[in-house]
Order: sequence, then C-alpha cells, then structure tokens
Amino acid sequence: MEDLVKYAVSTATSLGAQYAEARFQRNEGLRLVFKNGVPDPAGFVKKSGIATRVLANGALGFACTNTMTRESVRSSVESAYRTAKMSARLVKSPIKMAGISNTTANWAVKPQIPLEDASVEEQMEVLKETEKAVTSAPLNMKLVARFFDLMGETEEKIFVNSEGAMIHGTVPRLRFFTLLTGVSDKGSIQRWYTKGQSGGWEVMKQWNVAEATLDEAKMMSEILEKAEKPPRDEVDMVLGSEIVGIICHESCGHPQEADRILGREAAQAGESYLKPNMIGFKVGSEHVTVVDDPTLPNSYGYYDYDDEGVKARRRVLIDHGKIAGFLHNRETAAELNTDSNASSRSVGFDREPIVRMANTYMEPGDHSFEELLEDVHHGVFMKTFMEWNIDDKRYNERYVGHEAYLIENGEVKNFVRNPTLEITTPGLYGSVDAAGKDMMFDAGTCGKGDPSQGAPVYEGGPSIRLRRIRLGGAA
Amino acid sequence: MQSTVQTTQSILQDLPREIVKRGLKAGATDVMGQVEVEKRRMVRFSNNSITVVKTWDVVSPVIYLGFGTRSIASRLSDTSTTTIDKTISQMLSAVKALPEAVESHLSKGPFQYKQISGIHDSKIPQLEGELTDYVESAINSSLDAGSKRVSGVLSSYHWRKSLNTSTGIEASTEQTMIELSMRSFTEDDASGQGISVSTTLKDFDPTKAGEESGSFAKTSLKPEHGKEGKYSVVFGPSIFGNLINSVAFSASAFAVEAGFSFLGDKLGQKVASEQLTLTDDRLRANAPGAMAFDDEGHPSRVNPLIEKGTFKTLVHDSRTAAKFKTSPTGNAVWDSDFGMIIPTPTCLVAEPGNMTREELFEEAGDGLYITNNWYTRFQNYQTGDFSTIPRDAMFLIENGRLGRPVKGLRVSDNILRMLQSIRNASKERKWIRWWEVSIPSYLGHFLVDQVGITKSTS
Repeated sequence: MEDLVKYAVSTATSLGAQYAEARFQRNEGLRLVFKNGVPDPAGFVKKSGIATRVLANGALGFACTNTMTRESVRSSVESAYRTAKMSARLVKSPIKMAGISNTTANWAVKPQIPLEDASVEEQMEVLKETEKAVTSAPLNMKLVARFFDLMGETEEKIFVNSEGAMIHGTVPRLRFFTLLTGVSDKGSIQRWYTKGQSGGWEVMKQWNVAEATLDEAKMMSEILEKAEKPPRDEVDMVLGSEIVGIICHESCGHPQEADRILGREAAQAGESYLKPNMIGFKVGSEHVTVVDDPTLPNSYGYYDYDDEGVKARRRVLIDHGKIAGFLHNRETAAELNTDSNASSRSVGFDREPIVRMANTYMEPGDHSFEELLEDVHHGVFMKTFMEWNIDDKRYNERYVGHEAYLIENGEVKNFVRNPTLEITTPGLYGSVDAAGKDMMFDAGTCGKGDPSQGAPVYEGGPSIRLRRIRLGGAA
Repeated sequence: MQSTVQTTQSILQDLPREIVKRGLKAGATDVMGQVEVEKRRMVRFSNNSITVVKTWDVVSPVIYLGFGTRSIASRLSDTSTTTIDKTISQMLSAVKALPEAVESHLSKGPFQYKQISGIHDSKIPQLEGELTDYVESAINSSLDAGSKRVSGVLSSYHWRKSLNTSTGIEASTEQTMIELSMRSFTEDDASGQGISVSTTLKDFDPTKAGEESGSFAKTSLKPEHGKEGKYSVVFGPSIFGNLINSVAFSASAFAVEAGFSFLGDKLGQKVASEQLTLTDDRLRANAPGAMAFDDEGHPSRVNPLIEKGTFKTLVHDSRTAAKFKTSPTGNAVWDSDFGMIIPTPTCLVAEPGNMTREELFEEAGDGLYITNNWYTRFQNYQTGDFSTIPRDAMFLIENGRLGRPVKGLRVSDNILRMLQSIRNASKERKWIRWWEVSIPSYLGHFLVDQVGITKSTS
C-alpha cells in the first residue's frame, strides 16, 4: 500500500504540483445495534482508499478513490491536479502551506485486547446485559425505548507528501451510544450518552456499560418523579463536567478554529465571533483556561501526528480568561503567518483534512465540590444536559439541563426540571468565579465540513461555579 | 469473476449477482447484493475565492444476509471476490451470535419499476471547468445584488446503482444531481442564503441563487437585537425544510422504535393543522431524492406522510414491516450515520398554500420572517420539545409588511405544537437541499402562530 501512496505523490509532482500529499486510510470495524432487546442488521463497515491533495497554480485540489490500482490512483491524482488548475483563476490569494512537513514516523495505539479478539458473542453479551439491567430494575416509569449502538473500529493511515514525510499511524477506538426513553403519568423523559476511547476491548471492561446505563435509567426515573420547575430569578450556578465539556467544545474550540475565523466554513458550519487579531482578547474570568490536547493517552480524540504530518501537541486556547491561540492546519497557519499546531484531521479516505479539535477541556481549579457549593445561597446545580445549540458565530448558546438540582444555602436540594442556560459566550466565561479540582471527560462526535465529517473528540473539565445567572434566557 | 481488474460496468452488472450467489452458498435464506458507483465533484468557495475542488470516484458494495429471524448487513470499499468472501464469512460468524428478531424476508421479485423521468442528465457527469464558471456567475450575481463577500459549495453528483436479491429482484438506476448552496454577507451580522438544486442542468440556476443570497444580505444590513416572546412567524423554505426533515425522520418505524420520533403513537391522528400535507414522493419526475426502488429492491411508491394534518404513513423496510405486521413502503435506505439499512423518506413534497409570501406577511400582521436556521436539537424527541437557531436574514413583520432586520433570536418550542399552529403556506415552492436539509424537500413559505422565541442573557 505504501508504494501506491508514494506513487500518488510522485504522479502529482511529475504533473507539476507545487505540493502534493497522499493518504491511504482504512476504517474497519463491527457495529452492533440493539433496539429494545432486538438486534438491528448492522454489521461490518470496511472503508478504505487513497486521498490526494495537490497545490497547483496556488489552488487546492482533492481527489479520492477506493479502487486500489495504479490506473485508478493516477486518474484520481490527475483529476485533483487538473481541477485545481482550472479553479486557479478564481483563487484570489494563492494557497500556501506553512513550514515543512518531512517527518518519518510510525505510531500506534496498542490495545491490550485487540478489537478483533473480542468475539461477537462477547460484544453482544454487553448489550444483552445492559438491556437486562435496565429492564429488570424497579423504576417509577416504563422504559419504553432502549437504543444501544456499539462500534469498534480500527483506523489506519499512511501519509506521504512531496516534502519527504512518511507517517504510518494506527488507532483502534471503541464507542457506545445509548438513547433511553422513559414514560410515566408524570410525562416523558429521555437521556442519551456516549462513551468513547481509543484502545482495544479492555476499554469496555473499564466502562461497565450495564451499570452506567442502569444508573442513567434510575436517574431518569427520579427526575421524572420528583423534579420541580426551576427558579426564574437570578441564581448562582454550579455546572458539572459534562456541561463544562460541551461548553468548551462549542464556544471555545469551534470559534478558535482558524478556518472558521478566516471564513472557509462560512456557508456550512459557520464563522466565528473572533477575528484574527483578537489574540489576547478577554473573553472570561481568570478562572477560565481551556486547552485542546490530542496527546491525552487513551482519549477518544487521540493522535500522534495530524493528517498533514505535523506532530501533535497541547494547545492552550483560553489562558486565564484571554484568547491564547487558534487551532491551525498548515493552510490557515500560512495565511495568518504562524505555524500549524497539528489540527488537521480527516475521518475517512473520502474526506478532506480540515481543522478539528481533538480533546477540549477546561483546566481544573482548586475547589472541592463542597467548596463550590458552600457560599451559594440560592442556586442551581446543573450536572448533565440533553438539548444544546449555539449560533454559527459561536456567541449565543443554550444548554438545557437533564440532571439538575436546586442549591439552598450551600446544599444540594430538590431536582429541578429542564433548567435552561441561554447566554452569550463572554457572558458565560465571564461569570465563572471558581473551578473545581474534579476532572471528567465525555466522548463526542464533532460535526463539521462538507461533506460532513463526524470526528471523535473528548470534551471535559471540572465542575465550575457561575455567578448571577438568569435561567430561561432573557426575561 | 476475477478478483483483479474490473471495469465499472462489469462491477455494476456482475458483483450484485456474485454477492447473492456467494451469500446463498453460505447458507443465507435472503441475500441482497448492491453496488453503488459514485462520481462527484465539489467546488467550495469563501470570501469570493475558491478554497478547494474535490473529486470522488468511489465504489461501495453492500451485502445483506437474512436468515429468517436474524439478519446482518455490511458496506465495503473493496470489490474483489476475496474480500466479499471474507466479509461473508465474518458476517456468518457474527450473525450466529445475534439474538432472534421477528422473522422477515426480502420482497419477492421480479418487479417492474416505474421509469422516473428527468432524474438523469448525461451532461452533469461531464462538468469540470464549467463548475468554476457556475461559481463565478453565482458570486458575481450576489455581488451585483449588493453583497460584499460570498461563500458556498457547488456539487455535481453522478450515481449508478445496481442491486440483485435472492428473491428474484434485479434493479439498476443512473441518476444525477447538481446543487449550489451559498451564503452572502454585507457585514458579519448581515447575510443571506441562496440555493439551487436540480437533477438536470436546465433547471439549475446559480445566478438566481446568487441574486437571492445577495439580496437577503443587503436587506438584512444593520440588524437590531430581537426580543423574546410569542410570534406569528413566516418560515422560509430553508428553515421549514429543516423542520420537516425532522418530521420525515419521525415518520420512520426505525425512529419510532429507537425513541427518535415524536410521531410514534400518533398514526391516524391529527398531528398538524389542515394546512400541512407532506408526501414522500420517491416517484416524482425531476425530483432530487426520487428513485424507482429502495435499497432492498422494493418498488418505491408515493407515501402520504401527513395528509391535511393527519399522520397517515409510518415508513418501513422489510424488517420493520414484519415487526409492525404490515408491508414495506419502499423506504429501505442505507444510512451512513447508523451504518445499516433503515426505513426513511428521501423525497419530501409539501403541498402549496394559496398565498404569496407577501400575503403571508399581511396575514401575520406583526411577527417575524425567518429565512434560515441551523443546529436543531431536541430536549426530548418523543415529546418534540426542541430549539433551533435562525441564521442569515431575519426580519420583523410590521403591520403586514417586511420590516426591520433583527438578530440574536432562537426558536424554542414544541414541534407538534408548531405543526398544529400552521395557518397557511405560500403558493410558490422550491427545492431545498443543503448542509442542514439532507432530505431533498420541495416546499414554500409557512406561517405559524404563537411560536416561542427566546434569546440569550448578555
């Protein structure tokens, strides 16, 4: 396969490409879907092929094929080169790649138990046990729908470019998604959650999915039974890690993707409230430091080298409340006269590498959870969420709580139902007056690009405290 | 059949048959072999400049094996018989580990499929440099209409698909589509969308999409912060297309069983006002999303999803039909997000109303006009509680006329309540398909009463 990838690059350079790269990518795995105790006909997904990117006359061309012959690869490369050249007359400023990418490397996430060593029986048993756990538990509601989706996949990439890079990387990943629906005379409630990590089948043994899903079902039942209306007057809030993680992803990671800032995603995923000259802009309190780090071991968004051959590294996005940096690939870095920080990723051979987050989280602080609560006289602790969204500049956002409680005089009290935090990005980060010592990550699938690319990511952080928040949006 | 060099034509002709032969030999009772060959081009542009041109040349075989009460499906990249055999062998081992489901079988063929006119244009696969010309004319018409910068994506598609089953089905199709979705800006908070989607070149109009996009960008200049409250809202085709995509998925038996549906227990019930009639018209001429057969080879048909407000059809594939003790509706579709075949509508048509867009403004009196949205998320799919964020041009409707542009609002409501509050629709309709509207939808403007609108605290 390596020869075919090298052939793609040499073909492009022989055609006259200023820069060329080729990537063989294989995503292969087994997907099991279990709905209300009955399997759906999912199965094996085996996706592989070669993608080529070329720069010709300052224009960028991408082409992919999954017919692994020299003829097909040559035809694909010729197409990338030819169409790039044809489009060059409408390229206002020649596209460039910052720096040089010429590393040779071989990296892999080594599973303790390879995914293919986990028999289908063993995998199915996890889903059966989970189904049994949630259907046999005494609940104050009927669990009318249980949807379980288990996917083990190995991703292999061979990257070669015209600057001398040659990188072979392999990462196995496991993901479990569930949607539970409960109904009682009090109404209806739903909860979805995702677990995901890089690694082998050993990851599943750590998750204990049956117990975790049962806990979720019990919590749904409690919320449905006991939750009261949330307050509408001004409150202090404590947000749990799950919500802090999605906040960091949506209103820090996304607006700090340089391709959005430069307008490249304007017609699809949108732009950013930030401009290129806003490094140093104060967006939050001193308690807010947000980082994106692809090198976290066993994380869902783990990688050693990005899809332009740049070594992965930790990136500080907000440093004590100030915008500290953007996520760059080589193209955006060249445009903003800086270096790539290894943010270029593609989820398949048939997708262009674009600027992506990996594992985005808020740095922990020094408060215990009790200390976060202790001087909150009237507040809401929102631990988890269901509904969320944010505008396409990443400025106006909304998180609707799932597991949430009233706080009275420093103590967690009754459940409250669906408290809604609807706030601006500076309003949110500016309200943070303390961060906890606790730290947790959740797995997510981040959507971006056209055609859309669902990238595996982690989102996380500590519990945090917000002051003077009005729930339910503007009154 | 050789496992080395294959032509596209031989793959399409022979591979589905080979899959069926090998699947039967392996002991399956129901086998479906399918191959899709996709050639696609995309030109992406932003700030009036092309950012990348992409080309796809991808072959995707699908194998479905049924064993009565157990079934399994896989999608591959490799067309070699070695890989097909290996995958079938893996599927055989896997399927034995699955618990039993309701017994189901693929439909018995052969079928005579309806010829759908206007879904293939031989000129579209030949487009290459012309795509740049279309982008240029779209950008220029937007700039002429008053915008300052333009972004978007132009895609041309050419699909060939062939399918065989062990139940005597043989089907093949060749289809094309060209679509342009663009967004123009006069300033960061003033933008407009334009769309042109067609199966043929003669109905593709990048200039008109550019004019529309540029004109919205110009008229939405200097928007004020909007106010929360309950509004009569005129929804443009893009945002209402996004909402009826949710309605369509809710009408899938898969979605109902999994908990993704707000229509689950409402078959035969009034779920919308009489003004809404929504059809999944997979046999419609010149329609993006039309196809004579589904991914199980079952003939497509015209499925009324909602007829004058009443929920009429839950769409099925062979497995959900068996489970619900009914017949397949010709909606089996390979879904990449779920990695399997599920029943889903693919070609939505909303019946027109009797008003022009301006008459809908008059009818609204005071309200909001929302042209586009993104990021629709549900708090509870079953109840339909959700929110979505308007983007691009949004205006007040004041005294029955288009008023000042506004920004910073969110639709926060219940989708069933909204469907029941549809007061009227426009006579004019258009095809919508873009990043946030994956199922092609033919619809106009809709006036909905008492829509919940919220906004952020600062």
